[in-house]
Amino acid sequence: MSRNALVDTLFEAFVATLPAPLRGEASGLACALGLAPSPDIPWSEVFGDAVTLGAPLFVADTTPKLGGEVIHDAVMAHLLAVIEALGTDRIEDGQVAPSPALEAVLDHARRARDASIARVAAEDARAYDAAGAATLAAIAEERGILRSGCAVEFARYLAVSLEKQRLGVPASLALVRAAGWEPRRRRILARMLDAIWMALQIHDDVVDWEDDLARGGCWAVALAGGAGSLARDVDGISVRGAVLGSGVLARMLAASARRYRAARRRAAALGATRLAAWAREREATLGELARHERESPGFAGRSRALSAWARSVLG
Amino acid sequence: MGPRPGACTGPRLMNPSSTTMDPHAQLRALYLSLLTHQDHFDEFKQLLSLYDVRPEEIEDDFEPQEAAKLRSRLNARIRSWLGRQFDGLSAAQVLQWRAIVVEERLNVALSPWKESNIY
Repeated sequence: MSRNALVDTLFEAFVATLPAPLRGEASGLACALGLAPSPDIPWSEVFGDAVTLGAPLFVADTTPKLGGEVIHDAVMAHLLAVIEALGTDRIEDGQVAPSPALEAVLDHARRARDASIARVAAEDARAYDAAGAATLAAIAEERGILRSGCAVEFARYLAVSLEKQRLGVPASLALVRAAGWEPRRRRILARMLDAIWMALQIHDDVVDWEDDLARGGCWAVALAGGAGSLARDVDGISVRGAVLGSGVLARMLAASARRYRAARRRAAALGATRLAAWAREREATLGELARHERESPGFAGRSRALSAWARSVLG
Repeated sequence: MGPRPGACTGPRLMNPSSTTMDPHAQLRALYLSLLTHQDHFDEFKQLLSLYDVRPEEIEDDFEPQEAAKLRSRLNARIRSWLGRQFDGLSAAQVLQWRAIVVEERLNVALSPWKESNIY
């Protein structure tokens, strides 16, 4: 079974455990959260990569002695952690209207997540408590910074963003604990995962910056000098010119590429060869994108806007 | 029955100029021009947003005169950007571009975790 198929199968298995009235809501959750255009699109098609929802599957390349059941529990914990975090964030952010059914599904996801990770490694049964608290605190800090309209240093952006990624780590760490890894190797794995989530996050902060700005604030503007200091037309053209002229998007993309490089090296050191190969490819792509963005400001946004057309017409 | 008043009929929905350039290469040149020039992209998007035609009209080989003029203007601008032969976008192609670039109908929403598909 492919990684994508497994992710979808596991999510369906989670849905099947829910009370009947919640199953419809849960099945169309990606659509309800505004992440898919229709309810029939499975979670595996929501993200552009297999790592986001299936990270423990890649980590499992390094733990050949573990049984499939433990690995499936780790993947279940991870994908429910990611999905629950997305749902909570979107409700908190006002992008999605809360409903009793939606909140009940997310509550079930939290409980199933915790039960799954406990089956992988009992010591990590409460690992998501601390990770969730750190993530929520970072999201609150991010909103405070972005809504203030103040300029932000790159280092602070990276620090806050890193805290937002904490939910992406526990399931994989629990998996290698079950495999008997010693602490030093586990720390390398944690740093590798941090690098991956940061690389994805920074890239996303670049391609989504205008949408984020329209919703109340974005890092690109804060890094370019802060919304309070940038001239703003009704249509946002001046802000865009200031951001593109600042070169901050190219800097962010280069930072993303560096994190893929770090992830690739750590993955190779740990023996996660497929993850290393994926990170290598992403490192090259992001490096190229950073170069294009430097040479032609706004390239990343235009690339995203034209990507669907390019896929369908240019192949 | 003749064409409806104010309509451009079938053959005129395509640009009649001939060229030896591969149509795929022309579209690729347009794509690269839009990718590398923000001013081209902005003007392209703005002109597309003004192209007010329903898909059913295109299927019936009916393009309102105003829309045909706008498409002609758009194609002239593209030729000026590319600086070479360009057959011109058909009405159906303009609608396709509009759906993607203006209405963003074919782009699946990106989540905070998702990377874009091409880059």
